[in-house]
Amino acid sequence: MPKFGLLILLLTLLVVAVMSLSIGSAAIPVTEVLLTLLGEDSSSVHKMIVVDIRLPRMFLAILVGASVATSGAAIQGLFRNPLADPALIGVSGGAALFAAAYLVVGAELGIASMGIPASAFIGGLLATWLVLEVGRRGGTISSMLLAGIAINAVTLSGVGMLTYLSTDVELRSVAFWALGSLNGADWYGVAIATSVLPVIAIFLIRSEQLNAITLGDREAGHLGISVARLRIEIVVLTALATGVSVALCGVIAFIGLVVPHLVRMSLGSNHYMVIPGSALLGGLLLLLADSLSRSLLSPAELPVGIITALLGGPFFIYLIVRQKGRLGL
Amino acid sequence: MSIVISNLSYVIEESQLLKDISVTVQGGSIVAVVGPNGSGKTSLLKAVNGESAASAGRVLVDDDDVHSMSLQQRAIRFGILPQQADLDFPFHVVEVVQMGRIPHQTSMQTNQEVVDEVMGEMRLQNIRDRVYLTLSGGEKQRVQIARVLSQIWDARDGACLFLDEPTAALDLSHQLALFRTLESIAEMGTTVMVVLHDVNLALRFAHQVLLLSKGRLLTSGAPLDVLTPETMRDAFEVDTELFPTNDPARPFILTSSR
Repeated sequence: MPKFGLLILLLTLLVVAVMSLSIGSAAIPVTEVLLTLLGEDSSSVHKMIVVDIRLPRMFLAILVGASVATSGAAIQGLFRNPLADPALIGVSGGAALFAAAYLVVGAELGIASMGIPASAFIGGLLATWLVLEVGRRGGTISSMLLAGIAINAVTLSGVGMLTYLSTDVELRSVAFWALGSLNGADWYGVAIATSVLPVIAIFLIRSEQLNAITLGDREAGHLGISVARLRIEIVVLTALATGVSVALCGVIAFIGLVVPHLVRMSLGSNHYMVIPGSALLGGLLLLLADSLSRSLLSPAELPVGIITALLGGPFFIYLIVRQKGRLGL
Repeated sequence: MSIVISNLSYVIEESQLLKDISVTVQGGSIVAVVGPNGSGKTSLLKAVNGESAASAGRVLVDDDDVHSMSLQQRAIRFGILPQQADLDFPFHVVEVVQMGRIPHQTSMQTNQEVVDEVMGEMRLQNIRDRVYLTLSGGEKQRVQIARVLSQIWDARDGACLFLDEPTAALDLSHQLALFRTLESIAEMGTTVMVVLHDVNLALRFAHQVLLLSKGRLLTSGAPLDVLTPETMRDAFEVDTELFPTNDPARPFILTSSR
């Protein structure tokens, strides 16, 4: 039954993916989109829009959505807390801060754009390390989450400060880190984003360990799992996936928090289902949100992070009220 | 598996939780660890199963030093039930029980058979597909016990089971059922070390009782030799009396009204 759910998610994702190629300031009929994809002739302008603009953007939305959602799922399992989410506990914030700092300072240094993902990764890693370290001293998972919330606030105000300090040209792009947008998508970005695929694969391979760790650190140890090693591995992978995602699209709010919950509610808590389910649903939701962000104020567009937060926030409140004890908070 | 504990001490942050404990446990026996709060029962369990390092002394399980065994080696031979579980994710009951099979390389079919058998043993079939978080305290406890049992079920002839207050949340009938199960797997060769507050359960089911007080092993041996009014006064500072039952070998203990 859960496998059937995964299949439905996959099919829905395919349908929405094709639809997303037809939506936009220039409406292109689905049939023409399909013909273009199959290599048939269509008007060269439409072909260019589909292949050079919308297709990379579609792939980027799916990859980043999958990355953010699976990172959320993995880190929720690792921290044994359904509230853990890279965007809530400062990982994304750290990544955004370092990426923005690199942009403001690094632009003067004239370093290649590959440096942005790397800076974002380092920022995310540092933020995660801080969260873990403060949490370790506080002694409880709650103190870790609270530390994350504090670090998140600090990093985002850092981004705000950079916005204030930056020149007009940099300003828009710095604001972009905090709000999240798929607006710069190109095939180069897609190529970088594919680096999250091995991360998701490793999350999937570690499903059993993630299941065990939800029982507790001691209990996982009794089941033969080296918790310290698993923790480092998951944290580094999460920082990597988050760093790449933030570098390409800024901070995408709520996908990492809400998607794993939705998947657990419908497919159960087993990470063998939660990880692929989150990947598919995260990709699907970010793609939907991006399609909305492109079409709501067309031809202008909203940063997609605004849409995900606008829809994700109230929905999460609904979840809390509706599910009561069942969220495990 | 026999367990030989020699001169075991455990010190953490200058408080000595275990002091120079030496005792031998026969393979295939049920050993009750009894003593007042803070007497070191849980510490003893952790030090014996290798979870915490010994500050001095050592523990041999069938001639293997527990503290030099790897996590994996211990996971295959030891089932450990901590005092309280904090599983906060909405897993189904059967999935929680299946987690006991994680250390094993056995086939899916074997795992499924083990899980089915254990769930039958703990009478969980009717709540098999319930969400763990919606269960009562006693039901959760039975699920956790089943998980631990499934970990050692196919190695019952040479495993150790460490249970920290497994009966705390269980009603009378499930307490009895649990000890029937423990008796049957002990008969097959599993050594069961169980922390108990209910001395009458110890009296009735244990082959050996370890009575702890302030980190020391006050005395150990057959239940009736250990749980005497004298030692009970020494350990718990309460007066107790033994009352006979229909079975003269199985009296029960009550605190005196004085």
